[in-house]
Amino acid sequence: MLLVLNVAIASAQSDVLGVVVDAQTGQPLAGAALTIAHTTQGTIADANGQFRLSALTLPTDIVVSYIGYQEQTVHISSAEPLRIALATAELYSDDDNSDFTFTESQLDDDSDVSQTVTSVLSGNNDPYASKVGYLFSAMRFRVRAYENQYSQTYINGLLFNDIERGNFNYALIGGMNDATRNQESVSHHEYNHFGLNNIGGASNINTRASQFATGNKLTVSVCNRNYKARAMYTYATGLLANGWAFAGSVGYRWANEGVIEGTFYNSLSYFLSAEKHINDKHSISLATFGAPTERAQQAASTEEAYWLANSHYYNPNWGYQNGEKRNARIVNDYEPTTIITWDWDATTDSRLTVSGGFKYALYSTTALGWAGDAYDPRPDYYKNLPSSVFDVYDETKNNGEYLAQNPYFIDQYNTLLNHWTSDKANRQIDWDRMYYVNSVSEANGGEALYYQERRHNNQAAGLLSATWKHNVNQHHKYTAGIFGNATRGMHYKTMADLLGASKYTDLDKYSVNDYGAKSNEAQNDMRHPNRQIGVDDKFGYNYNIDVLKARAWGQYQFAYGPLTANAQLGVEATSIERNGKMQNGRAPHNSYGKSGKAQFVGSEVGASVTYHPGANHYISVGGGYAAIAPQARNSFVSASIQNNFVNNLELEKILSGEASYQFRIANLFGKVSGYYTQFADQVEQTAFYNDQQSTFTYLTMSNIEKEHYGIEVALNYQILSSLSVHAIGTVADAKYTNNPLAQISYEGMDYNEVQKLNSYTTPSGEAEQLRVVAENMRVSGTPLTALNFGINYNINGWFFEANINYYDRIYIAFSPYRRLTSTYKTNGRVYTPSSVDNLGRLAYEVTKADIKENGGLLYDNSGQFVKSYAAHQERFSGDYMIDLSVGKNIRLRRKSLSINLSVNNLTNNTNMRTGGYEQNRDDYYYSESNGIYTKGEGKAYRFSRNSKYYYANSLNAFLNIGFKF
Amino acid sequence: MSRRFMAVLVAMLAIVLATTAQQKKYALYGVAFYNLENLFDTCHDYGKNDWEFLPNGSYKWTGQKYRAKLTNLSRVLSELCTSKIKAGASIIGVSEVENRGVLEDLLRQPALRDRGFKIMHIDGPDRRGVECAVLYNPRFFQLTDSCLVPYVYPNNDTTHITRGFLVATGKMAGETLHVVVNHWPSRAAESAVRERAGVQLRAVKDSLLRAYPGSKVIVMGDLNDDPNNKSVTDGLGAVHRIKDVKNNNDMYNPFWDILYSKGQGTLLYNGKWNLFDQIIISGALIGTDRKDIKYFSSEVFVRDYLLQQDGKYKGSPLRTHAGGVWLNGYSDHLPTSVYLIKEIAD
Repeated sequence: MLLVLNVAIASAQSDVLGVVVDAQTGQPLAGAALTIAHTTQGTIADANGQFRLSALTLPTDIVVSYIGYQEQTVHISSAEPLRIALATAELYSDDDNSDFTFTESQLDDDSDVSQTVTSVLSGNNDPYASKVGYLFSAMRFRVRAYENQYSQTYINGLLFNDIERGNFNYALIGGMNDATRNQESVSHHEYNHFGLNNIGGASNINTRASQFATGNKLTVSVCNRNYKARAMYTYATGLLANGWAFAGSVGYRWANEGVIEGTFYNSLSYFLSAEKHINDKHSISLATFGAPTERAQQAASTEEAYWLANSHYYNPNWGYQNGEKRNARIVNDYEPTTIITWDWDATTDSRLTVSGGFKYALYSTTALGWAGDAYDPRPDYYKNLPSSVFDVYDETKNNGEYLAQNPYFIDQYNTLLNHWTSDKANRQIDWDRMYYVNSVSEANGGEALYYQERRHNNQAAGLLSATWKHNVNQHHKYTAGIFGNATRGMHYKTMADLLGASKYTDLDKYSVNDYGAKSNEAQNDMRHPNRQIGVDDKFGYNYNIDVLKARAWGQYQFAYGPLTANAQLGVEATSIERNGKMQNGRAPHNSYGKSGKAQFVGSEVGASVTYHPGANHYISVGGGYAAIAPQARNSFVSASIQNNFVNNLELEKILSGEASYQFRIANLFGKVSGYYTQFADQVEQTAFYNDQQSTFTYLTMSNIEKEHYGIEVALNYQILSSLSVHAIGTVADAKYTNNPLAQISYEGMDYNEVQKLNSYTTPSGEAEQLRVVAENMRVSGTPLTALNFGINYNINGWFFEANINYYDRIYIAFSPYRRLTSTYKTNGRVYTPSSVDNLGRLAYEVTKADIKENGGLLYDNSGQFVKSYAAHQERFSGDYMIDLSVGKNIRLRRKSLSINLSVNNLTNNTNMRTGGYEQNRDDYYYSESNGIYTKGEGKAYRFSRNSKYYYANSLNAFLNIGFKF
Repeated sequence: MSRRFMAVLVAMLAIVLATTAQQKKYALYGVAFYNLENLFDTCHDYGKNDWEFLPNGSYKWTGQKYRAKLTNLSRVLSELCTSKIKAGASIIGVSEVENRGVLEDLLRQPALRDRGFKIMHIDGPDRRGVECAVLYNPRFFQLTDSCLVPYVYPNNDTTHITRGFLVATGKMAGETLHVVVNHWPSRAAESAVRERAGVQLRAVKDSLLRAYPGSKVIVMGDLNDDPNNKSVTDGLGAVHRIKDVKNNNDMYNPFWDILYSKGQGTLLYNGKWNLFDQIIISGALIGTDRKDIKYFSSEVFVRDYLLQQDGKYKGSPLRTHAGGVWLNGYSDHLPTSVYLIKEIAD
């Protein structure tokens, strides 16, 4: 019975009356607050301290409070009247208060050092690094003239640089600009959480779905570059209540014909990302993306061809077929990639990130091929050019007397000139002729003389990384990680188009010339000799390159007051192996099967110190040393034929140092830095057709030494809050500092013959390793001097920017073949003294001007090497370019619209060379007897004067409209 | 034992005793300010424009995100002033809190539960419902009076309703101390609006000193202006050199040096630090005689976890929301604090 009564009382609603008083004096506390615990309901005591709590559900707790008194929680179980006495808040005495009291000696009066000052120096805020990429992109500027493989690109902590070639293929994330916007960029030595950064710096792209801005974004662009139109749509859910987040992006870039004639562009891109926050500490993220692309390429040509075509944008890669434009060089690129990432926030100050990735790349380019006696189908083949008939610069021939005696030169010259200038079709590929020739050959029982082959460079790559970061305390933090990559590169070619023919036998045409069609040497695949090739059949070469990399690294940062110091250390093991799938007739014993592993253990160490003495000054000094494995693609003498590694393969060494000063003085903000980097034991490879041997040639330079050094300045002056000016520039040098070792290999030639050609003997008869005379040759294809001045103005949401850029000291890519010691010897450019004067000075038969222009080697009478001169390397003249940009951001209610129009090369300067390369072919004919080559007469066509050039795009515009909703 | 030895021993003892006897003892008190960046609960407050911060609002402000923010903020609040004082801050002024309830939820977090902070909060007129509040540790500060002084609008133009001046009066170490917490109108409003706020804050300070002569005043808040802006230098009349403090009425701003000499601010905009979250103290707190409470030092509270450590915005404060993304961070502002010192009488 009692139980029931209690329950009945408990569920009843009662009014509770009472009074609140001061515990010491008994005085009522008017206005005391009484609140039902965990609610905002309650009441206030009246002027007499009395209160009534209505309709209380008992039992309950009420909290009684009054300013200046200790709060009390009262448990009410019955409706009886209450007298609540509050005690005044105590004034605590100072006993046992060591948690806020100190002796004099414990007091640290110097509070100057204890204020932590955060450094906002990072790649993203760097006034030079953040602007230089886009300002100078039209001229293909490379920061510090470093090759692209020294910049590392990570995605979620996985290093995605191509392990075979070393560089990052931006096509991997092509058309996904909005999806890959979340990027952190760091410079060399900058402390980061994702991996070691080499001299070119690094970026990490974050693809986790929760990092995308919630909502939709549609971007539509129109331009006249290699594509004409682009659309991208991105959608992200943000982190949902159930812990999931999704983001996706799809895009398309298209041009029926790009700004360069005969090129087209078709690229679809997709990006999908999902993330699940399992709990406060763990989350898993999955991303998959790819950009299947098909596009047609442009090629460089000689200045003469540009002159004849009346355009610096003449593209020899295309021609008419039945009146339609068709490009011979089509690239197909699709590299679907999937990444899974697990993040574990062990504590607020530490995190483990484990990422695994898989990429399967399908990359191929087509090219024309021709066999037998077929005439070279390239429209700018030198024999098609007027200068191959007659050299107008040869004064011994270009004069009235000679021409009167040999009038046919003028006729021939004019015939070719008219052919080029009369009809566009004449200066492009003649597809119809190739089909015709094939049909005639077919009718006579022969094979395809012309065909189009597709060269495949596929890759399957598995990547894994684990990174642990720990911020120990305000002063110390460190990151450590491991990384592994296993890549299989699959290289082969297939028949793309037989151009109307139906038969083709897999034979090497150069060997057929030298050894005959029935020889073993002519076979590309001795295990399947004389294979009949149809469309999509593999032929020619087929090999895999397997690369394994494993790296362990750590970074540490120490910060105290104005000083911050970073240190980095890493160790990396690399293994490279070739696995030939065809037994090549020119290397029957070492082309099929595995080459054996070339293994390297490399390391990297770096450190930097930043001093931040006052509000607006940062002084930084850093240095590092790295020994890195050579790139797999450069490690083989001629990978398409044989398993041989390049001789003397060693770790590439990089020694670097830099110093910088970043400052803010009133409205002037800027940075000045200087750097010096030394390379040793680099390896570079070139491949070309060699007239002397009538064969295709691979030339590998090893033991290359280089120096890169320069000054970089960035200044930004805020004149008004809406107007600012900036100036950015670099003056640098990047050059070869030695004569590297060379190794040459000729396709279509057997091992013994090749060995003979890889030799050089000095005038005194000593046999020496072949070298390329490259000392003081400059690194090519990037302006070593680049200067910019610009203005930014904004008003009412409009943004205007104008930039004028000056570029100078761009060098052509020099021909290593022309500078080989053996080539100089054959061309008679190795000199011994013709006389010695009484002071011991040596005199030579060649003039200084001649040897500086054409190169040569000087020895003394006892056969000692004195000096080498590399043939003059063309330097393009300096020029300027003007760029403008206008934009407006419109904020609609919950949406925003941004419009941006940028116009590049406002003055339509079509004469700016961005790069180019010397041709590797000889100016002379050679005769051979007993293995010794002697220079014969010169050809009319001077290859040394006919380098091929690339030009910066003419006036072009890019209109971008972004709509966020 | 030889006499000589004894004499030396006695002399040594005397020296030790003398030095220890001479050692004064001091108490340090921490007074801090922190803009919490939109601390809203997940329920709608009647009459307030808090629609964005609801589970189906534009921020998708769910219980999970609210609880995460409470966990994060409570960690910071518990660590304020602990670099010098193990017991932590005595008084913390906060801004951008929706209501009393979110503060109660905050104090219930494990990091703060045992600290014993109390809340002084008065609902204000702000349309979104954000206002200032004071958290105080009754062990060091005993609240005796509180009020909210409204901001006076020129010509009664209430287009931009803003927060008033929250005054907490109480006793610290037996002395009367006033703490005024405010949050001036944002940079969307022109400078004149904040200059007016500075003038009104000065009037509040003058009134307090008239009502409680000889007392000490600390004003703090997100002023949306830097120490060298007119609202602070002319409106409020704060000086930045201690030698320019001439009487109890003058105000000293220790954050001028922190921003302009050391280069540390409390929020980052366009790669440049601003120091909006200032704590400015009255003349009576300036001096070397520590028999009564005096100003000791000041700092911006910087910790790695408060900053973005990866990504495009590395180095800037790790906020709760940025650009439509929930970052699960703390605030777009860093906290600031001043330390006060008083000699402990034997």
